[in-house]
Amino acid sequence: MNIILVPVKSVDRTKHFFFRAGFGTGPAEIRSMRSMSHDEILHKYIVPKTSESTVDADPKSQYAKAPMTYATMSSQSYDVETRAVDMVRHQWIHDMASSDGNLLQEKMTFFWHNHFACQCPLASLADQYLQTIRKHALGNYRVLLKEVSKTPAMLLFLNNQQNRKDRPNENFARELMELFTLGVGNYSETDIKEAARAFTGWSADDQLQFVFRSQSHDFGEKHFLGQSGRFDGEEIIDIILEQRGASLFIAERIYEFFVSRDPDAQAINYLADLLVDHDYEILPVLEGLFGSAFFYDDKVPGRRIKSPIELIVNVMRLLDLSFEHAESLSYLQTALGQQLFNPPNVAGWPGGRSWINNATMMIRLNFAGYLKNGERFDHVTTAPLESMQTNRSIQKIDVKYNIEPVLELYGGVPYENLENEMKSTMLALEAPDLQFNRREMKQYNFSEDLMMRILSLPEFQLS
Amino acid sequence: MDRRKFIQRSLLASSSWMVPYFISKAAHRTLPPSGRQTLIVIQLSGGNDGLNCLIPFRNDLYYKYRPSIGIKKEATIQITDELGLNPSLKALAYLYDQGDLTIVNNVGYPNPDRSHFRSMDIWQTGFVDDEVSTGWLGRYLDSECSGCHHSYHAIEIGDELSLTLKGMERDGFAMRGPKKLQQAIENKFLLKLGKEHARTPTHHTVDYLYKTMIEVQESAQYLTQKAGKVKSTLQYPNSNFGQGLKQIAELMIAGTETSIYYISLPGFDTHTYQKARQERLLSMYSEGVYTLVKDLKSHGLFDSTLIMTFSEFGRRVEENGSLGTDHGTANQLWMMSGSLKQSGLYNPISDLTTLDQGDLKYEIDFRSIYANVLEDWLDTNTSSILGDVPKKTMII
Repeated sequence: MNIILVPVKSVDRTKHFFFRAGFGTGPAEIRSMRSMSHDEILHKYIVPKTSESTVDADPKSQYAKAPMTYATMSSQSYDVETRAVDMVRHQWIHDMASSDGNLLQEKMTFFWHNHFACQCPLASLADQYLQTIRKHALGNYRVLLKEVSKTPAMLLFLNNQQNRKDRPNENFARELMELFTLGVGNYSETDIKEAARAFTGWSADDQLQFVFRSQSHDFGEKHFLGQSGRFDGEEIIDIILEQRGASLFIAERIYEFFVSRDPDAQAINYLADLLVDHDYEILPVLEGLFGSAFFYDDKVPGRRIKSPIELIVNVMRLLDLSFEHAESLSYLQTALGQQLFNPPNVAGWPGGRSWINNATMMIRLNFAGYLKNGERFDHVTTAPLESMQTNRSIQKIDVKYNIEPVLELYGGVPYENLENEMKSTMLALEAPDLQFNRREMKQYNFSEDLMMRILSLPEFQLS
Repeated sequence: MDRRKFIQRSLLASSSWMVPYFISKAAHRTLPPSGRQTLIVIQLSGGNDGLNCLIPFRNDLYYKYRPSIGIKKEATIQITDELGLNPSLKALAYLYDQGDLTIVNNVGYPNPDRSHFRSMDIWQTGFVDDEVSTGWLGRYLDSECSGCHHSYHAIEIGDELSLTLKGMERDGFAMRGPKKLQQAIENKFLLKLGKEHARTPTHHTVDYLYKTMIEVQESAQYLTQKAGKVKSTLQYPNSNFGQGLKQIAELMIAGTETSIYYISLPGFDTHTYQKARQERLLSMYSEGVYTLVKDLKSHGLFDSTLIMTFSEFGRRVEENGSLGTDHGTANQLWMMSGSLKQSGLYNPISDLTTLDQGDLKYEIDFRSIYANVLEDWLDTNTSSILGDVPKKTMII
């Protein structure tokens, strides 16, 4: 096979783009890196896509018509429902792993899940919420924020169905400002109380659809962030987004996710300006980001610890891997510290170094080995409140994978060069010698063994 | 040390957490050998409602604020003429009678923050005004254990390591038990890689990953050898929390060189239907702690053990419209040990007449309790860990 030589610097930029804007380098990305220029690649991937969810598993919630509180669920129904949510998780992760032209949309959907961190205990809630953030992932932040705020998942998670005139519940209003738009310190406790009044009546009906209950709504005048009027929830959101703090806050979240956890005020200002100049359209910000010099700075690549989901999806893409059972994929997410639809709290997953502790580190390093050997994977879940008493041991991780597509890409490479070729395409940074001797290199399974060893390197944890 | 300088140093160091592991081997301070004092910290996450743990049943205001979720006098376990414990807290009542419990009321800090995350950070870091990325016990490890080769001197039972146990240079160790740890390290290639990398460190983030890997490999060997075979004979509750306490007991009975244990019980964010939910959690807590104390006593370890239980904030005095309570401020903190200087009620409970925007006013700064623990239990210098703090309490 022909390996087209492109200037090293361009490949490095492209590889970095795939690690950050996508989910690492799978066969499709490796092929693109060899055949397309960096500009062509940006042109191909930074595009608006609004593919709808591919969910066909129809994860019907058994309790869609039941009263919607956790408190009314028995532990048995809780388990049944948890399995249904696992199906949605499974489908979403497979969507991420099989994305191509919509890579950026999938990555941004994942980003928004952490930004709008929300625990979804019912499958129908999870599915609706996912479709909302996916639909608007590359759209307009204002629209996205309003739509997410109306998802029953979020309304229930932040207790807004209990936010009624004369009996306000401040939970949603507080998190709206603290975590979705402004950050602590840019509003007062009074602003929270007033905003909470504006969101009274935002609720979900027994079909789990958004409903505005006007009899619960406080139509009185509110004094909010220096303005006064008979504001409703949408107007509150509009006022928030008029604040410079909101664009800066969102820009910082994007910078933190795609570039670095060390904030750079100049870069963040630049992204915030793009957001404001385009009336909160998201795509222009991403174009600016991936076209910037700061994104490709030497200090950026190879320093970000892949989140558990990013790691799983990266491996799935490389190995053309699929999980047979939603439940075992769900256990894996929990064990690594990131189960979709179950962030630790409304602030989302803290990320960075906190992904790594002695326990998660060893699962990460052993991941490839577990898959290859189909080993039993001993782990006890830490399920949320209602099933805290249930200790279940994990089953075998049932997977199917096909290593041929990726190995074919290295078909023409002499075995002495294979290690370096693979490392330079699959890893975001240099790695130590993998200690194969000449005899091992000549064996039939060498390329597969090599691949597995690369996947178990600490360096593979970085993007 | 000057507080400003301390914060600067800690911020500086935490932004470059490239962990001079290879250098710190040469450093000197290590924890005292085993047989010394142990600290167990229990974190009730979500904001435990202290006002429904210790009930002022003679105070009409209590029932006025809490017409639906208030606990009636007859239901409480009376400990004084005016106060009763939540019926789910039998262990506390027992320890109170034995003189092994101190209840500290109205614990908090100035300008309380009602955000779970910020308030938990404040409690975990021990800094109220400045956001720092190290925890108070992590900095204790930095200060007292910079020469420690391993990180099992502070163990968190669970899958994740809390900020409390993260220092600038040293971290605690998170695990569910030695057996699982041992299974995880059996990989010859990785064992070899660890040995080689220790000689040739390269790159920021990746060094942290290697350091973590090497520490797990070495700690797993130690813990398996030391504690792999010790089994507690008592029946702990079959919850993650109960089994976690059992793990702590087994490690302590085996004489592991661990001076700090950390464990969380989540779920206390009771905005709705508080009563049943909180009482179930409190029972889980109470039964677990009762068994742990019994276990430690029977091995002569309770006098050298201090168990501190806290939550990131209390809850609003007045119940909300959904049979729950919203985020509040000051709260109770419980200390248990066979060596308390002052047991019983450390200070009086609030009379509920003077509230701050519907919340309890804090009276005792939590950092003054930390200072008490650091100086008088862990025998270290407080100012290098917490900066300047209010006068320490005299609980232990």
